[in-house]
Amino acid sequence: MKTIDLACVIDDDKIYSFGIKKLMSITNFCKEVISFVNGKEALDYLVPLVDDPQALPDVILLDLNMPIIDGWQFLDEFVQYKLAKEVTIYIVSSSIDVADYDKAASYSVISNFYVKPVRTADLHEMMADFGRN
Amino acid sequence: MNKVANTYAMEKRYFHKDGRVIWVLLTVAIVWNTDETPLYFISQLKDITERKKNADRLHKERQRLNNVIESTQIGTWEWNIITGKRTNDERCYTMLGYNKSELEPHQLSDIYKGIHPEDEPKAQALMDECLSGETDLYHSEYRMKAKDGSWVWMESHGKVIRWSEDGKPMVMLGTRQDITKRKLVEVERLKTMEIISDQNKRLINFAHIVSHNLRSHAGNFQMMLELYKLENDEDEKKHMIDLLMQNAENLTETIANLNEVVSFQFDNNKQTKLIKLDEQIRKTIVNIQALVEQENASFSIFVDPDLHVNYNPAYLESILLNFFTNAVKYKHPNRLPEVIVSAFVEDGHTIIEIKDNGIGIDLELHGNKLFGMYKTFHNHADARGIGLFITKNQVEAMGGTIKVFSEVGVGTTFKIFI
Repeated sequence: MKTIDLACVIDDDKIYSFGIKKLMSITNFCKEVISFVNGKEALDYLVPLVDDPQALPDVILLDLNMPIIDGWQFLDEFVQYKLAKEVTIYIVSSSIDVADYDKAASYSVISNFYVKPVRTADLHEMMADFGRN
Repeated sequence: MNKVANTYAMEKRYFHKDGRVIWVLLTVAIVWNTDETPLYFISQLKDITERKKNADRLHKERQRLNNVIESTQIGTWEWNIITGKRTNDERCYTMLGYNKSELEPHQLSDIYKGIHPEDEPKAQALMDECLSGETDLYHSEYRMKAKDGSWVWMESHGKVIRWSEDGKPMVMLGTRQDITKRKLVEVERLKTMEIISDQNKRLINFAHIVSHNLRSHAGNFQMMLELYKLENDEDEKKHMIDLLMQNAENLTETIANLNEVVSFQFDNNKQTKLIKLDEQIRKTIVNIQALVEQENASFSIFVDPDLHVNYNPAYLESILLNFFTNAVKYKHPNRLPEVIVSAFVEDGHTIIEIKDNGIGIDLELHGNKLFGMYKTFHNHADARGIGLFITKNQVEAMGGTIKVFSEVGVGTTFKIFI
């Protein structure tokens, strides 16, 4: 089964970021994690790496509501690039707004939508999902 | 007999043998003798009862039509497309405040060229559709200039009633009606709809904010407590307690913010007072003196000292405070903040303009979120994402609007339409 080498967390909530990284290490989610506090920082880091399959993350856990560049704006920009490998993107948000779910469904690059708080079971599901593909 | 006329004709009634009254056209011609004395008459009698009845019916029908037109206050028009001649009835002119008899022929046609420039292209397009046969009936609504200079809303209906053999329109007939009253009601209704849908949008937005912001804190509590249970390392546990405390503080702040929003969203106490704008602006700058000095900011004020606004004093103070603070706070890193505050009256509305030389906002990227709650656009530690949200709501609660112009790296101008 394929395993996740590099995961990327994009979220402005520092408490959540601490928690998710902790949860990732408990579940052996991935070998390594990088994290960014908003969409702009993530793009600044990721865009120069789109041709490098080693440096690109396998999985991105993306928040929606963020300052400067939010989750939707990040996606709109990121999908413009031809990536050197497939990157699985999950939305992880506190949003229970149906409009957000509908919008997420319209993006083919989004694999799933998780509502916070993320549980161990959610991470296991992502891992199984990733292994199958 | 006096040789005034050789013939005469008249319509008169005769009694028929059966007692009916019949209409007869009597034509009489006189035949003269060679010595110019009358010899005899030749009389011709023709029963015109049917014709008379028809004419009578036609007359009544026309009268009825006139009454209908009169009662509906509709004007009628005819347009000979070939010659270009337009015939409008009296009411077409009285609608616009003119008296047909006082107008010269050339003025008659000029008046009907006065369609409002905003409405002209559409009216023309609808007319073209009708003239090309694309639509059977012409129907359009437009404004026309009345004699006193005011705009009158007109509804016009028409139909081409004669086509040439090769399919060209020849004659068109139609009506015109003053629908100004209806239009004004319509405009009022649209305005009300807009206010209601705007309030509705704000309510949904607010409900969404409440659920989202409270949920994110709740989620953090849940997650951190679960992790705490699994953690054995004492140092790490201590760190988690710190984070939990921080989360509790964030939650308290969120609730305070939401309370602030609720308190004016549903506040009906919008009492106004006549306020000297210049004085209020200077007072507000004094209130943020600490920030102004710390950032070495300069304010230039161009406001007529006699300019007064009728406004809720607490709102005005909060609005000015917010814009002034933002103008200084989001300064450009390479220059000192300079803020120009001016106010002027345009079309009866007071406009306050606040222009800064700060970092600017990418409106293409953030324009639709600029006034949203908890939306921040800069990596600024103090950005709460609540100020502009509240400001916008306060301005709108008082029936005004805000416009924003900005260029990244150059500065931002906010225009508040009081």
